[in-house]
Amino acid sequence: MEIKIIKKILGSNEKKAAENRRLLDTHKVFMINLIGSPGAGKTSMLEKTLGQLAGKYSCAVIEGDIATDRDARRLQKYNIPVALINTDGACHLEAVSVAEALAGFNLPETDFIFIENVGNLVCPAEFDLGEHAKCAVASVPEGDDKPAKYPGLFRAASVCLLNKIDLAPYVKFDVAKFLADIKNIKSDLPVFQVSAAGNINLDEWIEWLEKCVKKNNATGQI
Amino acid sequence: MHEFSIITELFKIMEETAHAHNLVKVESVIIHAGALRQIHKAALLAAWQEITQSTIAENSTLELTVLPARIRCLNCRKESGVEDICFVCGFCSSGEVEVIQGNELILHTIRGENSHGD
Repeated sequence: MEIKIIKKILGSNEKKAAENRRLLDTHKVFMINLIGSPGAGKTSMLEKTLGQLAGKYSCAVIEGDIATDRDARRLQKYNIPVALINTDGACHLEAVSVAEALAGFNLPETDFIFIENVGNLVCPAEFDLGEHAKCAVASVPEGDDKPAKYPGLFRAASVCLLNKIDLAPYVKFDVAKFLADIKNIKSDLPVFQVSAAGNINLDEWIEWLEKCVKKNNATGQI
Repeated sequence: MHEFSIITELFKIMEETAHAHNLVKVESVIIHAGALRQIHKAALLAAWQEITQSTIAENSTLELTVLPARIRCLNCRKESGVEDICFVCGFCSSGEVEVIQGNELILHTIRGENSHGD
């Protein structure tokens, strides 16, 4: 016999993600999901971002890490709640573990939640966690072909950070090509050319984040 | 690697459906996946073979139909395909487009035998 079903395979993750988003909206919390390769500088960007925002806003972090607590330990100095999710080898976070992390935060008193996803350009883009925005974190040493090779992430992202821009003179990286590919994939994607380690152009990114939190407070979405 | 998570969820839905329809054997499962899902077919099939071992779906075939990405222009409202990762309207060249096909991940059909041999 043949049974026609037509059912979403990742429907249970999507349902949980929608619950997470509703919970965040109730408490006017803006959650952003940082996705990038291992070594792109996600934790460094987070350190610099928290350095600027943590005094002004109430922030919390969900750290996705395959096995260690090294990234979570790097963020301890900011004195903010950090929930560590060890995925035990899995290459991405799923909405159900984010829900458990959210349950441990004081959401009415929180403005921003940053998720640092597991270092990977494919799988994390596939799993909605209930965030309001995905941030694609690319870096110059990875090469300028990343948008073309991983269009799914750049299409799903609401903002892109091109990190380690101060290394551009030392490696073969065509910024114009990188931006042209992004324009084809998502014409209105804001791209900030930054360096976390070199403290370059971080203000534009911080301003973008601050606009999001205000919009979120006003309307419940970006 | 997300193929294994997908297969785990697919297997759960397959088992529930088979149980609800009194299937004793599952012969084939058809899924539709959008091209933007970046699914690696060999990894998906290997995961399916692995997870179905010693179950009613052992030795079943997993058929994957890939749906190409399609966009609709928000300016001229016309629909076009996505060539070379270019999410730009094929008629008016606007970049303001919405994806209308390519993000699907759907369990479409299960074929099997129930306890009456049907």
